[in-house]
Parts: sequence; structure tokens; C-alpha cells
Amino acid sequence: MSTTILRWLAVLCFALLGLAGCATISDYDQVSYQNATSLKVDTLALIDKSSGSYAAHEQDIAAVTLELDKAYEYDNGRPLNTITMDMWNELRARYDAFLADWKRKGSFNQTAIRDYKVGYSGDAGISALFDRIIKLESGKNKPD
Amino acid sequence: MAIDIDSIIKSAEQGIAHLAQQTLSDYTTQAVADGKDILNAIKEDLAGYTEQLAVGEIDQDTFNNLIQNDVSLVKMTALEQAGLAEAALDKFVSGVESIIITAAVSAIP
Repeated sequence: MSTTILRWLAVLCFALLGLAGCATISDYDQVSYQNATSLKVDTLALIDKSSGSYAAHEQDIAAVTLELDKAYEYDNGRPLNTITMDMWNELRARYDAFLADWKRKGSFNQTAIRDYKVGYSGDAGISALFDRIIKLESGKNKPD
Repeated sequence: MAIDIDSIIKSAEQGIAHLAQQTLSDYTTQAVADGKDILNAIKEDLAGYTEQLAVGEIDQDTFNNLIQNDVSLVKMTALEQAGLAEAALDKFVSGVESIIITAAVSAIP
């Protein structure tokens, strides 16, 4: 192989290394995906329990909140994961607002429970917020 | 031994154009469809919550929270689309890398 070809291939290799190092968002992570899907189920189940008193469910609330904290910290430790963290911050604020409303009222009627879970339309509410995180994670590129 | 750079570039260009069509335009079509679905859901929610507040099924605090949930849904949908766009772009760049390697290797006599 001539010197010219070797030089040309060397330049090409450097260019490709540059391209490969330009990832802008984290790859798909199975643990992160499982955390979000599992927490969606647990959180919606907790909202169902808000037909009962807040005081009677403080242990359930603490358990779900702990799992949310763990999932948050797991994603917070992943590089190139800013967008997912912005989403977790938004969702966490809505979860805290739900808890504050539950604590203030003591319990919710079925209309409020449904609205908090899936919205009036059935395609919104806290369920849809989890879906945004889940859909982004599942749409990320699978690592080689 | 001479390398035909023009041939490599032409081959890569064709591959990259095809890749862009596949990777980026599919993503854009899906993003527009998702955005429309979310806006329809929020429109329905706003009407429903207002009615529920008017008849006393929910109070003002809950109403405010539910509206805020929809605002968060809009923000998070935008974030999701931004993230998916970045992932699509990363995939595109990775595909370009592969196309250039293939074009270059196949041009070596």
C-alpha cells in the first residue's frame, strides 16, 4: 500500500473518531426504562389509594417516594442525560403537588382520582407524564 | 496507486441522502403526529376540568393542579421530542461513519 493511501486512511480514521465521539444524548438503558415503567404502575396505584385518607397511607407514600428518589438518582448519574433529568424534575413537581393536595383534603373522590391519573381525556395526567420519560428512553439508541 | 476521491464522495453522498430520509424524516413525521395527539388531549381536558369545577366535582386547588399537569405534559412532550431528535441525529452520524468507511474501503483497488 502506498504512502499516499496510508496518509489518506489515517486522515479518515481521525475524522471518524471525531464523529464517533460526538454523541449528544445517552444511549438506551434497561435499568432506567424498568425504573420508569415500574414507578408508573406504583404511582398510579398510589393515586388509586387516595380515595382513602392521606394519614392511613403514609407508609405507601413513603415507599413510592423512596423509589422515585432512587430512580432519579440513577438517571442523574448517567452522562448526557440532561433531558431525562429535566423530565424527572417536571414529573416530581407534579407528584409532590398531588401529595400536597391529598394531604390538604384528606381524600379524593373518584373524579379527582381519575383526573390525576389519566386526565379528563384519558390521555393526560400523571400517567402521560411517565409515558414521556418511558418513550424517550425506549427511543434512545441501543448501545452496540 | 490512486484513490478515486470523487467516486468515494459520490457513493457516500447517495448513501447519506438515503440514510437522512430514513432516520430523520421518519422521526419528524412521528413527532408531528404525537404533538397533535397531545394538543387534542389537552383541549378535551380543559373543557372537562372547567365543567367539573363548575359543578363542584373538583375544587380550585385540584383544578389548578390538573391544569398544571397539562402544562407539564406540553413541556415534557417538547423535551421528549428534543431527546428523540438528538438520538436520531446521533444515529444518523453513526450511519454516516459507516457509509464513509464502506465507500472508502470499496474504492481501494
